[in-house]
Amino acid sequence: MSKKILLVDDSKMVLMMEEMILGTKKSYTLIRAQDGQEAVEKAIAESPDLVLMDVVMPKMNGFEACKQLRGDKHTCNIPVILVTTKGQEEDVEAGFEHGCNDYLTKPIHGHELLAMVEAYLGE
Amino acid sequence: MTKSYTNLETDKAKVRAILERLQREISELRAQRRGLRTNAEEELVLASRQFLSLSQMKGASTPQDAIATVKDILTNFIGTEQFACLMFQKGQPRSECLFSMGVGDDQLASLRSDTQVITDTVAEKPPGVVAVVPLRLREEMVGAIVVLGLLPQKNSLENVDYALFDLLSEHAAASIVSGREAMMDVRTQ
Repeated sequence: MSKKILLVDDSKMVLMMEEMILGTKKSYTLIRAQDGQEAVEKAIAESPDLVLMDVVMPKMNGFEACKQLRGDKHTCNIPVILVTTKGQEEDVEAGFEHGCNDYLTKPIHGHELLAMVEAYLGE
Repeated sequence: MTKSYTNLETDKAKVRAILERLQREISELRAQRRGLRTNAEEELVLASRQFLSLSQMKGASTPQDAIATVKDILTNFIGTEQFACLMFQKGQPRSECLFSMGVGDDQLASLRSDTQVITDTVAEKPPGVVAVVPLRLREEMVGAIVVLGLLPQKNSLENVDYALFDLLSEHAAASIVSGREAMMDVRTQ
């Protein structure tokens, strides 16, 4: 059964980029959201196997969305990887404090993204 | 009996040596495969970045779209965090700042103050400037993107980044200008 990944970023180009990278490897089912609020709604509705989420987004940022996912009984166990330009140590710490499982900085490196996704999906 | 036992031990040692050699070769081949896979994945990312950058710049229908695309390329694809996009204004010494990020007012004012400074900067990058990307429209330089800082996790610019700068140089200005023209057309209709 194909694994479902929720991609969250306010940049259409980043979403397309992630789709291109993940689309070549396996038959993942990819779902999109463009802000934190939409991400939380889609995670509850779709129960993805993994969430890849940006931090700086309109409406609700990635940290807050991560916290909300951890606080909901339907989504509390879904692994969340933050994929962001914010690479300072304090940002990484803030990510883990808000409940993310892992942290990846942009610009995205294809092999890093794929290796991390495969590790979290048990492949 | 002793002789054949010795032969057996010799054969065993030979087989073990062959086995060890094969295991080493397998490890080397696995490492090569990992390397090839990593290279292929990186090539894919690089090609995707260029394809997306070009297609989004060409497809921008408003100046806002074009500017958002250029900002996206600069931050998410190249990894810059301080930059300014300056366009020359005909007959005026000061350039127009279309957008900037993380650049102080004083620094921006000095960058805008003299078109000649920008033109010279393209030729000779002054200290404190990471990169200057001339923006061209029909062979003419109409402005520049001045990069003053990279994201903390980005140590230096790589070849792929310079390839994206080349794309920006050739297509960003056209994308912004054609977006403006498209908006003017809609307004006049």
